[in-house]
Amino acid sequence: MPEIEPASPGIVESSIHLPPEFTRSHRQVIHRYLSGQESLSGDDWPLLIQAMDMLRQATVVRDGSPEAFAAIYDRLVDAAYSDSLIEQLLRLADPESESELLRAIISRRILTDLRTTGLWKADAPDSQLLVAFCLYWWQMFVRGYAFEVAVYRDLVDSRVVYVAHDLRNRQTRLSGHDLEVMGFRGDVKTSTYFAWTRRTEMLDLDFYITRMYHVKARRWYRVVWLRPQFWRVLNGEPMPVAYEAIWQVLPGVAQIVLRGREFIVVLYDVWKGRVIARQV
Amino acid sequence: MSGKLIGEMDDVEFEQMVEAFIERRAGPDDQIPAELVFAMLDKAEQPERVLGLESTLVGDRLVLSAPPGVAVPANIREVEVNLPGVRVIVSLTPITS
Repeated sequence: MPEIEPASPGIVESSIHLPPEFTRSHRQVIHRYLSGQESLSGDDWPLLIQAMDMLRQATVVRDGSPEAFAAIYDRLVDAAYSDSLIEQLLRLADPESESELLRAIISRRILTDLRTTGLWKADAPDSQLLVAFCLYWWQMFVRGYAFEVAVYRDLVDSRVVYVAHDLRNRQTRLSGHDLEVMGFRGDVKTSTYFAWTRRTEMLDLDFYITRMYHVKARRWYRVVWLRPQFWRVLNGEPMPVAYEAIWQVLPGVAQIVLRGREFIVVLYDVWKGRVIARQV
Repeated sequence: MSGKLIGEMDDVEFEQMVEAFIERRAGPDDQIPAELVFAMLDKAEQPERVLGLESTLVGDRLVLSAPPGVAVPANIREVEVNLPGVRVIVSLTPITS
């Protein structure tokens, strides 16, 4: 339900409007995610993703002017902190682990900014959803780029020849692909990022360097998904398998179908070794 | 915990929850199983994209081109033109010169 405040002299009148499809179930799953008291189930994740997607269209109306949560995030978080965060990530020795401290520090600044701009107010309880929205996307941003920086650093250390977009430049950072290896275009993204932001896109690129979580092994694997045309250049026989059974084939070379398209899934180190062998 | 959800909590309680979230490092909350990621990618609805092309007659040839600044995805092999009662399929041939 929209939160309407009484008008007061000298105080900006504001209200929060949530999309009508946003239900109590969405609120519950965001709450469970933030509180961290229990792991989300397989059914919870799609609901959480749907909830956060819906909140992009939620608006704060102040003095009659609406501003979407997504626009507030762009203005108050992305424009203010993303460039400096990237600069700092590039200077870290171990971006993936050390970035957590940066994430926390800037998260607290975001909270302060939301408070001082009057966007998060005690007497507007649904402004808590804006706080959750901003903190979640900021977390996604930091972890995603920490992973990307770590991969580039490893590629350099491994003497893999590649061309990557300039992370320091916001325009090139948003380019259609992140890097090129052997003339093939690819992206570097965490699997969480895929689940959140790329699922409605076309999976057009030739390869994706990502990481996948293996529940039974309780660990992450850095992997590469390749289109067959890239894999053919690197050689090797993939094993066709349904994606639900991917871990039965890895660390072997798996071939899966996503949206009617074939992808080869291979451990990152295997892919890297084959690229180096071709480039030497 | 009061049992209240986000958007219903008092300010102090919400701040405590948010602070714990900020302090929490990557952990179980980040561990979406790979199979679920694949399933979400595989089953997600794809938004319809509109690609506007321009056509020019060059001699006896019809040349299709993208307007300036519009990139044609590299994997497009055919262009479908829907006319009343007619579906025209134009196969694209890469320029090899």
